[in-house]
Amino acid sequence: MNGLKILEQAFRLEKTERAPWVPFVGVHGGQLIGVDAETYLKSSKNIVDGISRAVELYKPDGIPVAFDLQIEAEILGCKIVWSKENPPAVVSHPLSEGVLLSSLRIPGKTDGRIPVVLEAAAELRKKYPELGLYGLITGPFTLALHLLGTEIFMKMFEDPDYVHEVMVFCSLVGKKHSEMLLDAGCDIIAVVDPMTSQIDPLSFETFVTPYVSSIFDAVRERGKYSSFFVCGHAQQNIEVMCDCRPDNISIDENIPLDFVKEIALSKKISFGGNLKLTVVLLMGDADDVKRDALACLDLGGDTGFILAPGCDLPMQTPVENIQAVSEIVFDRYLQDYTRNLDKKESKLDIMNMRDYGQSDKVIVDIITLDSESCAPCQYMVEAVKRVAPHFEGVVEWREHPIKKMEAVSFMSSLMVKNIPTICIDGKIAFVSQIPPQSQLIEAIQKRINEKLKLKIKSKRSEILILGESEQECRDITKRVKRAIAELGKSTGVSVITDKEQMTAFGVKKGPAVIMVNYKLKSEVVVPSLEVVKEWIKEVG
Amino acid sequence: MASIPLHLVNGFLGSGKTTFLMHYLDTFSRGRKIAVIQNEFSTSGIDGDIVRHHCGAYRMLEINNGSVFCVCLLGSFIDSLAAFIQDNPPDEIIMEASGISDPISIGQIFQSPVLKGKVYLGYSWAIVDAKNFNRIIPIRARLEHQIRIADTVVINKSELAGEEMNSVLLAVKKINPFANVQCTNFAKIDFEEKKMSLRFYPANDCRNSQRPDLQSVVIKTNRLISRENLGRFIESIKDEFIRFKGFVNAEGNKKLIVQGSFADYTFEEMDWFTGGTELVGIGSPGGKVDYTRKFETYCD
Repeated sequence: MNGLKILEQAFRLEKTERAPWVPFVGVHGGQLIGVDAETYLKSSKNIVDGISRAVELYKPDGIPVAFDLQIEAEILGCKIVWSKENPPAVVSHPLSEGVLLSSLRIPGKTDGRIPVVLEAAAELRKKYPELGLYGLITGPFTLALHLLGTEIFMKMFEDPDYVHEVMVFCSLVGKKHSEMLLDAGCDIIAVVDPMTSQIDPLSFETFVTPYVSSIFDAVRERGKYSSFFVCGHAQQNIEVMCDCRPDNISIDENIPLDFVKEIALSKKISFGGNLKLTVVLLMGDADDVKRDALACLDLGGDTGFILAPGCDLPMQTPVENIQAVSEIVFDRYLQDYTRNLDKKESKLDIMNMRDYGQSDKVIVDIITLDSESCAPCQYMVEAVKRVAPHFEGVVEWREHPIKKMEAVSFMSSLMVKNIPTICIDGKIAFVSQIPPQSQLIEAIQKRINEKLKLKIKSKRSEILILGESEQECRDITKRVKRAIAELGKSTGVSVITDKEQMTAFGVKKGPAVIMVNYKLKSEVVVPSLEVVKEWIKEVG
Repeated sequence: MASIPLHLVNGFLGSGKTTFLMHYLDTFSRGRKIAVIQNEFSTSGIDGDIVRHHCGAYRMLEINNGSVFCVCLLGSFIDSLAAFIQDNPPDEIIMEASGISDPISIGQIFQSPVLKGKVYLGYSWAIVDAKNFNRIIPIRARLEHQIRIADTVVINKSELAGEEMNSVLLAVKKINPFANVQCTNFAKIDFEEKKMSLRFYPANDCRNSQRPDLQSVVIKTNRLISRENLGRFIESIKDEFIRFKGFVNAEGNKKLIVQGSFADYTFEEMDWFTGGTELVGIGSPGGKVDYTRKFETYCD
């Protein structure tokens, strides 16, 4: 299926065979053909070449023609500063420098760099008839901020009427710009309004909703689709954004995708995003990217979701990282593989310690930073080292320097919070302070006594008397019972005359006596398989 | 080369960031190489000139990313910063962030290969304009975010605020109960607490051990975590960090503010505010650990 069709399905909230994929290639296109940002954004040929290269490399379903939010501002008199790796920056704000709003004119198709983008759009339309072409316009609020500077935030409070006037103008600029882009062959108009993330929902409804909605309505009237791009902390505004009636909203990593999905779908609007731009796409490797893309795909689902980065791809984003996204989009097997791999790796590294300290020996663990570089840690280890021989092999000690990962897990598993700490049989005994020898001995001895007590308590036993008949067992039963009585024990006595049971105990002919010792090994908890195996080894 | 702390000065336009910056330079620049980064856009470099001519600044880097300083523009900042510290490394860097930039995103880029181990997120101040605090409601969420991540909140122009001062102070304390709050005029604050903030090991005896190169790590995720697992996570990593702080989205629509150092940590429940989990740790973290991923393994 061609890219545009699958995108349209997503916009209409129809189920798609896979999530459509739209890499936001802006100045990154310049990187692909070896020119800087300024050279790229000022030439329609460079844009066509850059996007063509991106189409080859990333196999997108849709792509923006140009990602530059300064085009309108520059024409309207904002000074811009070019840099090699970024789109230009707006550095002056005419409306706060004495220019009158009434003197500003709505840009037309020959103004500034608009023709560069229109030419590129027309050329790309011819070259890729099946590719979804996004025409980007600066959202009215972001454009107003370009024109007015941050003064706008004060003015919203002090002079709201003026802000409304500016917004009316900016939305007319946006409407005109979208018409021109659609005429040039774009399929989708993206209203990119990142600065709305700065304001609260109430201000959004007052100062943004009426103006931006009029642009979406105009696009709809032409039978085309629209998307509302926002980046930054805009979670508070997702609902009001949806109420502006775009066909799609696209967000970055600052907002949880499942949150957006829930709201957008409930309002019957498609949604897109939110591959992590800096940490993963720019700074991570292909595996990180696959994992992140898969997480987005799994959350996004197959109805109304478009996979895209959170914003304009940084120029230096490694090509192989963006290719990794496209690989995972088209390869279900790779999706399954990555999903399973991830599951294995993400197993919580907290050990199951509930059986710890069940062996016959007493285990003393010293959790340290590293006894070589931390003096208290060293003294604590020394203290244990000196005391252990007193117990002649009954006490086993070990140091866990938390510079090693496994020691960190061990420490967390025992819920140890301070360094250094001594644990006896898995229980925290001494924290931070080095115990005097006598106290340490006392603590260990106490644990040995506890274990002994437990051992004694758990020693229930039974004597089995086996024979062909009651008669045959009678004499020996009498003697056993008398012996028990004379010793004052509570040992149980059972007589077994069943032939099969006798054979099971390995007795061929009666009377026979079998001693059974019961040993309590665990209570309440379910011991792990490994521990049970150890017990079984003990009994041979 | 020892890693360089990069301190952040946040605050809305006109709150007094540049005045604060100059006060900082006056206090600390003797005998120390303090580099300055300015990311201001609306005053056409006027602030830059003031600071440049101020004798205290060792070197200056001006980044002009315009008003749209969003996550997509951080890429080139990585390279400019790496080049800036390459030849004549300063002792510390102080960055006057744009009033609407996101400090946590700035912290994230220090994990990039070219900056890792070279720069870490140091101290952070939020400068609040007492007089206008209650007048910029539309962007209160942004302002609150800056206050929330600050170590010290400077409530500036307090004389001008009059009766409003009390409500500003209460609001700030509610937003960030852990921050040191100083009310002042002309951004003149007492810096004593700044030096105390980087206590390395709490146990005195450990202090002599070699101080490893510091790094900062940002954990940013939208996943929810239970209080119990958050405790486990912090237990598992806290010894790699000397300080750890931020806010966490916990299960059951709970928002927790986390603050801690080597010996112990606390988390306090807060009123809900919109936004994901954002934690910043400073310490000597393990080389290849992806802490956001590690954090997510503890999420449900």
